Amino acid sequence: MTAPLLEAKGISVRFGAVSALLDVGLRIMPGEAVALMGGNGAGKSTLVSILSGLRQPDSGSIVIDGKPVAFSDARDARAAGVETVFQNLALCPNLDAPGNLYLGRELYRFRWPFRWLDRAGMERATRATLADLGVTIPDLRATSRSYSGGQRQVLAFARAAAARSRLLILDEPTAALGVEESANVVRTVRRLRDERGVAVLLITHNLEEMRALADRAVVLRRGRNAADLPLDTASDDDVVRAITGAAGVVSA
Amino acid sequence: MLRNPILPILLVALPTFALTVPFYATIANFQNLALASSILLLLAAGGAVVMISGNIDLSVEGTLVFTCMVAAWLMSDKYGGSGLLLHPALVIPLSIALGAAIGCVNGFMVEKLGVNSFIVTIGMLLALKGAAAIPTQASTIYGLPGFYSWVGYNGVFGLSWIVIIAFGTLVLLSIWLRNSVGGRHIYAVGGNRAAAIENGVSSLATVVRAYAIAGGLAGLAGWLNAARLDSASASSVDGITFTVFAAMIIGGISLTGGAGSLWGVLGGVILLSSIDNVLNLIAINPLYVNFVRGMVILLAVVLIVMRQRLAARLGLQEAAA
Repeated sequence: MTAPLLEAKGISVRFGAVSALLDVGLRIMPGEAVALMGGNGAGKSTLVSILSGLRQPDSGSIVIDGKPVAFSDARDARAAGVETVFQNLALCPNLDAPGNLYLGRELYRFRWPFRWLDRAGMERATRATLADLGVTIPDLRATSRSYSGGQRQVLAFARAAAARSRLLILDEPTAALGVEESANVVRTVRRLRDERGVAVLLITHNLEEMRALADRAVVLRRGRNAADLPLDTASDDDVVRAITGAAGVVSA
Repeated sequence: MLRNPILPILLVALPTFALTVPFYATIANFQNLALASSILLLLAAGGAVVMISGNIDLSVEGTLVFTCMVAAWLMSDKYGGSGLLLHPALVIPLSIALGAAIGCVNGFMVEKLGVNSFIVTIGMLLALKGAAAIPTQASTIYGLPGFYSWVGYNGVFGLSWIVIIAFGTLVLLSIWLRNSVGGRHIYAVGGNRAAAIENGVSSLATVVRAYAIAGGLAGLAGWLNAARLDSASASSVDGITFTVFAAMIIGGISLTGGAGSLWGVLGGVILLSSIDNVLNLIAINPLYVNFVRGMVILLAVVLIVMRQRLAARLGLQEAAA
């Protein structure tokens, strides 16, 4: 058996007296696609923010490729190969496409004493990345404020895909999209898996999307692990029961 | 033209002044105007960097007078000076560093402690203006060392060193802000702070850096201002805060952050200084001066809003940072 790509163990987070996460575990194998399911307040977003380095757990550990890691910010998570497409897409409306794609990891030339933006390099690489994904943004130099919802989604995806990530976290990727754009997202994620062997953690409320993209569903309920269901055998009802708490803890 | 309303305003206003106001378009008056603009330019440029980062810095006036009073106190043995007689070559960098350090404190309180920047910096403004009067018991220090005020009395090609230093600083800062990674992060944090953090940009480092720039420039302006007057007083720039903000807003710096350029600020400074200058030249009743300035600011703000509506209607986009 191969080693897990990512293993989170005993993750707990408290907000005052409330436990947002209590002793939560998550294991993702290389190239695997896992759906993280749960109702509102189940702790999905908190877990995502920990895995992407935005929040530090009160206790628990994260191991990537057998090595324990501690993310103190988003940069650390990226360095470990974890890329997140946030629900809000995390774009700066006043920056153009290359500016957003390279936000926080700008290409630069060092000329004492400052790091100077390599605009031409970032624009070239952005063009290449978008072409590689088979998507287009008409005017790369326009600020992302002027993009349509679908174009913003494309840009956020391209950013996560450009980085040669090993784990792609998708936080409700199609929640704000139309039918055609959603289908596009599903196609892009499948391509990234097939061509690059990227593992995916998909946060969604949508059972259809879960079926389309994931091999396994991890269900959180009230901040705890509620179920871990292989989707080739588990039915939608099983998943819904785990989300709503109609079933006890089910283990695969 | 639609990107920044200050350019068309200047293109109309300055020729009008030149044609209608006697002595406006003379070399002596332009020298005077440039000198009078320099202090305002440094304060507004620093304030603009903070505003682009999505925050506000009301404290630059306080930083200016505090650093310059500390500098004068360290160099003088008269008028309540310390008697240390430190050399200006040491005191000048020290007062700029002190301004930057004050900026760091502002930035830390705003971004690390999460206190509203308006509250932090208005408190800092009052504290620093008060503190500026303490070393000399509120007396003005005259007769600063020749090395210190040399920039106020010398120049090249008829331009005072004060003007050259202020304008040169603006050019360098503008290049840095547009083309460096640090400058890009200031625009990013001001444009969408959460997105910047989610992409691994340190909002703390970015905001502290922005405030440090504003504080450092205020320290620099404190030196140039005292050199120009050959004296240091805690009330030498009373009320300049309002003009600083007017220059930024007229210059197209967005109050919500993430947008605007330092060249726009330069335009705002030129416009406001010219108006003051013109009111002076035509010897208008001083009672009307503030009213006229206020009306100009209102007019400019209306033009900015109209420009945005028009640009939206024409489907024009703002230029990327």
